[in-house]
Amino acid sequence: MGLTGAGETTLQRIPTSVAEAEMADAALAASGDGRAFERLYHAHAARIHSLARRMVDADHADDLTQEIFVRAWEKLGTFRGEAAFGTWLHRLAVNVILGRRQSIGTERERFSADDAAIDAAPDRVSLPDTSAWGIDFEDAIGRLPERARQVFLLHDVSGYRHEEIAGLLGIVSGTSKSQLHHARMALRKYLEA
Amino acid sequence: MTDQWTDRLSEYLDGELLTGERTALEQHLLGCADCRATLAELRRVVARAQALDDTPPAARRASPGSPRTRGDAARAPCALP
Repeated sequence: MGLTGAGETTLQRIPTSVAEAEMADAALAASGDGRAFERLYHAHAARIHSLARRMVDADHADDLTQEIFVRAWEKLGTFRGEAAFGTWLHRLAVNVILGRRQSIGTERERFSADDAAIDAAPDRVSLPDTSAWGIDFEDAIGRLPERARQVFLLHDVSGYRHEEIAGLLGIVSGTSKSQLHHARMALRKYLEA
Repeated sequence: MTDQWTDRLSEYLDGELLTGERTALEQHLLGCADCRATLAELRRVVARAQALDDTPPAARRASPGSPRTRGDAARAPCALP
């Protein structure tokens, strides 16, 4: 699977020296160097944990983060350095999270009464005032319908392109675009002043 | 508020409209204050998304370097997170 979009962005954001150091650590870790892997863990744990928390929920974020880094350790031999280590890890994390999504039963849990309210509030329905809901922007993301939330997080937070998202989620890019717009429209009401 | 262009505003924001569509939407924006306001809000949503803070795992089950208890234990470097 190609590593573009989010990967390119990641590469541009980090200094070359950092990227090279992580490449070196990844090579060391692949040969069994646990300390090198610890350095990679500490550099990326927050980003991966936040991804898991937002894509699924806070209750499962710790377990998912552990599973992602276990999987990364096991798959380090497949990391060829064609993209930044962080890009490779992020892609792996998304696949782990999406793979675990159904077993966690997230989809069922997400459709609570509150979620349905947000779901029904894209662009043609007035939402209650933010203060009346008492939730902030992060909370509102978590209350989006499953698909809209995934697309929003992958596109606007992580920087994936619609074509990549479509491949990851098994949808067409047009659906990805419409879900993204739906999510953005719903989230407008939850912007802090 | 909605019109035929409202659902295209995200695509416009992301630079994904064809040239003719973009030109037509920009022409529409000149005369539609609602769409201009919505577009501004969508920009803020995107900016807010890109500014979200990442937070590390709150609690570790074991400190790095300790034996891991699951997966490929023989190769595992540490218990995470």
